[in-house]
Amino acid sequence: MMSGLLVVLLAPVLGALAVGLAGARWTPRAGALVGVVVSLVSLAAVLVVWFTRSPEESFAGEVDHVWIEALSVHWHLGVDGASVPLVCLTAVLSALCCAWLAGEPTSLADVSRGDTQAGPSTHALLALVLVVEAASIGVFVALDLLLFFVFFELALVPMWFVIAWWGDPHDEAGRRQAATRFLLFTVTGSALMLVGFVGLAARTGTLQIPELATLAPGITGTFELALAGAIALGLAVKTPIWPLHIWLPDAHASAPTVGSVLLAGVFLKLGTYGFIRILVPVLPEPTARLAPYLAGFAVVGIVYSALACLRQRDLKRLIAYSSVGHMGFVVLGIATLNESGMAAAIFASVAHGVITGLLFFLAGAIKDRHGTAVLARLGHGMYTRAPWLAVAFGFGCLASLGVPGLAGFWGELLALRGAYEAGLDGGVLSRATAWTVLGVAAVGIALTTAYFTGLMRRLLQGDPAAAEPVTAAGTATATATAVAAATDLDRREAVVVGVLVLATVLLGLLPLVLTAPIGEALPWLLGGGR
Amino acid sequence: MTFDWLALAPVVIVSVTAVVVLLADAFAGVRRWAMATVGSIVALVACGVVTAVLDGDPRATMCSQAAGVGGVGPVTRCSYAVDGFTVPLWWIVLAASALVVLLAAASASDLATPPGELHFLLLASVAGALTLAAARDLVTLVVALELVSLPSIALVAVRRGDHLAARSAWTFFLASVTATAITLMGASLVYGATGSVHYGDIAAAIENGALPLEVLRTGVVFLLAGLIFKIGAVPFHMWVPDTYAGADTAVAAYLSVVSKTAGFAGLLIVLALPFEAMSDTWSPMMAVVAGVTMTVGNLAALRSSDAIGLLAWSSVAQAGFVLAPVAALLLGPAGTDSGLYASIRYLGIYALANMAAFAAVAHVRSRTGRTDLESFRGLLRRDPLAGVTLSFALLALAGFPPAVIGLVAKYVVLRPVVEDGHAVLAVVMAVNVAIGLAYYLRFLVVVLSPASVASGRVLVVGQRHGPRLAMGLGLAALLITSAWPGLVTSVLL
Amino acid sequence: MTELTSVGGMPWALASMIGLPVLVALLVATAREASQAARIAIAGAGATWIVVVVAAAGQLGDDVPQAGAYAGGGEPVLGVSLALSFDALSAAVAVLAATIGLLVQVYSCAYLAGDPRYRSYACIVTVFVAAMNTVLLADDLIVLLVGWEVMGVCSYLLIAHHWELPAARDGAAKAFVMTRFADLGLLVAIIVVGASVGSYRISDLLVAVESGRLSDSTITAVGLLVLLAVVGKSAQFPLHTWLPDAMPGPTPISALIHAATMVAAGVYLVARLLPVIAASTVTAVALGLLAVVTMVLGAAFALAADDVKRVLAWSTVSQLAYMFAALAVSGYVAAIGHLIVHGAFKALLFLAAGCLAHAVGSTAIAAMGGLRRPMPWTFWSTTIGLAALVGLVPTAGFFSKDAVFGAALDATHVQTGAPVWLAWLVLVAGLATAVLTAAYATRLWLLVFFGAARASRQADTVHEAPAAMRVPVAVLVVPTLLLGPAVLAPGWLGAQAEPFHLGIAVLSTVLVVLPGLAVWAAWRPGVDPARRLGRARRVLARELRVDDGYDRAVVRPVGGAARLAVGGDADVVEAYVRGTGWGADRSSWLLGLAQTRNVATYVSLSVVAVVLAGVLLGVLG
Repeated sequence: MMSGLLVVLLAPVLGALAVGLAGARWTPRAGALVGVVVSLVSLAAVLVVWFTRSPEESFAGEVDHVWIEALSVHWHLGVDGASVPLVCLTAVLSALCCAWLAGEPTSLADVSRGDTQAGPSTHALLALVLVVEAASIGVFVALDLLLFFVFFELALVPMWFVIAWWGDPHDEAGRRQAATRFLLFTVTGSALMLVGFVGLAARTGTLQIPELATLAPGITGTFELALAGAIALGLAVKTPIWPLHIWLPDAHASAPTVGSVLLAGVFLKLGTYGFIRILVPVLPEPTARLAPYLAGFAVVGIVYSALACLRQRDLKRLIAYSSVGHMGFVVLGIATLNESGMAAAIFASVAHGVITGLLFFLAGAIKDRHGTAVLARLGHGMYTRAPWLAVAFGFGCLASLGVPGLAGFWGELLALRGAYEAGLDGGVLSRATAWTVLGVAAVGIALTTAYFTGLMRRLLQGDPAAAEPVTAAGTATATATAVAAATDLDRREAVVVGVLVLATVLLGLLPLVLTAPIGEALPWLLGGGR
Repeated sequence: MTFDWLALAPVVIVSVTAVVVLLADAFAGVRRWAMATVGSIVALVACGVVTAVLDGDPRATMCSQAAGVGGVGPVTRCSYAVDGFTVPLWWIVLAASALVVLLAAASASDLATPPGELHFLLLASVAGALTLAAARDLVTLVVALELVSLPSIALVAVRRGDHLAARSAWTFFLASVTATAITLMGASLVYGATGSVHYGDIAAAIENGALPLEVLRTGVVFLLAGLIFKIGAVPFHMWVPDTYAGADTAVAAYLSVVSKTAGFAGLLIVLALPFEAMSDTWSPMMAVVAGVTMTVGNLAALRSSDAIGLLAWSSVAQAGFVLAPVAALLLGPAGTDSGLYASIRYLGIYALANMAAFAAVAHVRSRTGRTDLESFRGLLRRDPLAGVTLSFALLALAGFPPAVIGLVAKYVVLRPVVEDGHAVLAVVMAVNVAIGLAYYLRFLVVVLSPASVASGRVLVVGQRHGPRLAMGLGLAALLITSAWPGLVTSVLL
Repeated sequence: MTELTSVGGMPWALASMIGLPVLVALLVATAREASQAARIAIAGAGATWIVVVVAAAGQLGDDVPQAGAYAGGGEPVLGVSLALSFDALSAAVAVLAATIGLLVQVYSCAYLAGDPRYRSYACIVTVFVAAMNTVLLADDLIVLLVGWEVMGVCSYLLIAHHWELPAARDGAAKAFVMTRFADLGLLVAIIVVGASVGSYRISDLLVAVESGRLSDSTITAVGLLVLLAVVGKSAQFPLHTWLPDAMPGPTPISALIHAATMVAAGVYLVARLLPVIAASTVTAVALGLLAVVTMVLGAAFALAADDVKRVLAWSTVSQLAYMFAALAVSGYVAAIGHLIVHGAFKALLFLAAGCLAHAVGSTAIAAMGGLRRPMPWTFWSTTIGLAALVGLVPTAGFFSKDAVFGAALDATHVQTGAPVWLAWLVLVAGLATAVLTAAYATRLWLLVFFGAARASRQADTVHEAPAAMRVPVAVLVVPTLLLGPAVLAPGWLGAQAEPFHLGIAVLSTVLVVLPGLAVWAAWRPGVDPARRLGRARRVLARELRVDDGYDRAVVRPVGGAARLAVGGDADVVEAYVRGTGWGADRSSWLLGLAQTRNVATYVSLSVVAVVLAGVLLGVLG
């Protein structure tokens, strides 16, 4: 029987092939339309798979064929409550990215040509976006370690091109360096992770995650601790956990809008999902020994990134650093190894994808208008210059700083609750550790409020006339962008932004939408289906 | 002394064809290239058929009865065996050689290259490679080693009046001679220590113990030197880039795949059969050699701006990856998981990817006469087949999806290393995967780049179906094996 | 009582108290132009007022709360249930909020006439009312927190309404950051409750406290954490500094949010959780001490402030402290009574101040003077309001303040959660504050309405405010005068009412009349009686430089740390990355050098290597 998950996976692949091969024969708008359609198809497919699941199986739409006999690698797919939300997030964000590219201002496309002469087309970018989508979905549905790894790596090289060819049009060297740094960091990390996987396979003789999870109680010892360390390190680079975050700001800042959205909204989740799907269920005992360090680095990252945000000069870098903080909450949740924490990790991952996606789309819109994201050049009083853009951005900031009633809050609440419970009897953290990280994380929330308030104060409020004079060099662009800067969201932007705003409110007021599937997945994640 | 002609058939076929091709070339006037190419291909395919027949029923020949060492009753000692080690190595050698023959056709219109001699030398060397994979005593080993080396040295210099080629051949020759000398010395030391050249006897003698271990150890190290030279591992790596640079692309491809495979064949079998009991001697050495080799190769490749040079260094690095599992448990508990088979599998996948890459390079060179990276800019748009093949081959060498097969290869070699607990080596390999990606990506970006350079002076080469065919075959193989990696692992055990 | 049962089908009314304003807010946001938005906003506020009053009418004086839980159960992970509970306490405060909300909407459409941002303003005010009602109705602490923080956001956005003014931007940011930091206390308190009680329902928490299931340390921890949030929200010492700086916001906002409702929500929360607070002496004492300090400080600062709204803000701080002091000594009814009355007269005073600003174009006391004649409405209503603030017979303030003193007096002999000395302290400080209150109220009154008109403006420009602004002020005069007996009415909160204490009443009256006369005596037209304070005046005007302390202790260190973090990324972490890249490149270059193309080198190097290896492994190995 043809499983729905194959549809989920193949739709974007076929879309990528179609768009890539059709090339200039289609208008960008048509290509974008195809992209949106295939993304929605896989969204629909995964929802069908999920809602037609049978209650007694721990994974819906499970497919399991032997792929490489000699290595006992299986083509093993399946989704549960932990992966479905992330698959949906990926599909939605990809659809929005394609929609965003439908009207990508051609002038910018011309500037952002990777090299001289005939530059890379929007179609190529669309195809790459769809490849990234397929790869990420693959990671979320894979139940075989090697298959997981294949998908994990699949998206890296395409993302390099997304950043290096379509990135910041004004800084070619910079975007290339950022892309390469991103790639080499992640590759080194994932290679270490592969070492860990290989060790697991050698130790247990299987690559099937469900089977490994049932063997988990036996997987303890020094060698296993080393394996867990290698896997955790690899995932920590991707997530990223402080101090391995250094690749992130550059990559996000110099990527094109859709690149930043996919990086923040989807890519970082590959790391956290690895923790949730593999490290915790398969290596519970070694992970418990790593937990205090994970928690420590996580909260340090929260505070550190908040402090760094207080002094960022570039809008996109600021949002990128805020991602580090949010991922800190995710990792804190994972480090608690209890239901609240794991739920926090999944919920916060999705919420961060939606909210930071929104912020990066808006930052991209702002950058398109001003030709720069340097705060000093963006001026003040955006409320008057582009009211809806400004209001949406303010909304994004409030959601991102975790106002209750919006998506960002529940993850933080659950993470803190998990940390507190981890300090009670039977928790993985000592009481002192747990309450320390709880306090530090709370301080981080306060600092987050401070820098987002400062950002709104600087960018949205204030006297629009009092914008800093542009440097002589930038005068030409200034006059050019002066008009553009005054224009509000156009229809394409409004649609994309509107969808994400609605999603933020929905998840904020009806957390049940997410917590219901998460709740179903928790027993497996923490009990390994035993 | 009995002769099992079926087991010997591949070697015989190839050798005879070599002579035939040479003579035919001398007397026939026209269409010499086509003739030579077709003849060689036919011979190699015939060998393939024989190999297929031999697959699954191990045979040994050139055997003789003798009293075993230490009065252990009369034992049968065979110098030549076709068994589980030999067949997969033969597959690799034959397939790669066939592609090399196709590539060689790229220089058909180049009057300075005599087709007859080229194919003669090529097939002769192939015969040596086949023998090496079947050799089961030190003498056969050394002879086969020479049979691989000497013709390939001549191959490098086969172009008439090409000074760079002559110089490269010279480098190759001197380095080769040194290595052979050391190997011979090692062989004699081993013989002196164990009193036999037959693998079986040596193994038995080591089991019995009571040997001058120092001598034996030194002997093993020296013996390995010559084989390490063939695979171009540190410290015998320096000739590689110089030689490749001067050689014709097809020859470079041959050196980087077939003659490397031959070297590994000798190395793996020597370590596996006679000296397995001494693994505590050579295992650490192999670990060091593997780690250093892959690191040196990758680092050096970072700065090379020429396609041939980049591939040369990459082939050094890849040799390091092939060696890595050798350092780990060689014959693991479960036979197919052993480092030996891991190495053979990796070798096969590497051969495939590298041949595909060289095919594309040879093609481009035959169109533009250049091999610097810039001449590949925009290849994908200019020449989709070459572009796709090269990109996919590079990804496979780097071990990245969508070239899944390359990633599977990395997994295969990592497995024994981790299983045996070589943590350091494992980490070194992980880091090298990243370094490798850095330069493969640099090449890849140029190939995929939308901007196309004016492709320089286009030498219209008479016959270019060879490289195209080679590229097509290589790409097809890579795609199929990426979709079903099981194929490779099942063919190569 | 984990599952409250809904009584008499009213839960829909409860739900609509929250849902209706939200709906109205959406309509306002999508209104085509300002006038339409104004109509919708006022109509919506009116409808909300009716719903609230109808629901409250059945509830005041009733002991049994009516309640309902929606989406209870079901939620597997968070354990949140949308549980509402509506008792006399919620009813009283809800009526206050709805009334002021309605009046403010009416007032604003004149006060902000022609303001380009009126629509968003009206929308946010409506959302605020919804949030306030959420806080009042929530039986689930997390739902309460949602409303609690949404109120904070609305307050932030409304303070920053005039965001082109630096003062407004700074005040808004300061208010938001300070209160949100405090709110974290409530967040953590909720987590502790959830972990120890196993439910987030206030009803469950109170049951658990009474049944003594919780350890004292837990109760104290929860109490103190709640206190942190309350101190922030209600601008009590030491987090009192944000409220006066929030005054650049539109005056109706100051009336609604920063006098009558949001800041009073802190009092509401403490009253709601009084069993938790009173169960721990530590918490009760902490609350009492903070209240005592705050009431005196606030009144003292008000004495020296030179801006009408700032005087009123400080007076709000000090009056809120009265309520907390009452709660600290378990004066539940007294505190809520004062909350209601204060809400009425302080809203009146702020709206009247808005009329003054509307006429004079500034809120600086220096710009006022002699406004009695041109603005009779404002003059008389303000006079009544100030009388209530001071607590003069027969205004409602007199009775509610008397109840507070009475509660303290009782606590000196009746056994309550608080120690006796605290009760005495509260009583003394309260009376002292009454003295100060009388002083600054009189000063304000004299300086604004009497004396010579400022030469800087011609008399004809000064005019009474339009009806839409006058009427709400006038309406508020009614409760300010008549609410007094009501808060003394027995059982209006479904609990024991405070008896009237004649002795205290006489004493306090004397204590407020004398300073009033003294200030009057010190006053000459054009002369600020505060000058009599001498050097103390400068100190008070600087408000003890608490903000400078915060600047030194918090703001600058954080800035330094931020600089450190950025530097750390740029110079330390970055350095390793660059170093690696550089190293790889250099070593690659070196290897390039080794390729001498001189075969002799190659041969010799490799031979040396092999021989070394051979010797090593052969002889040593």
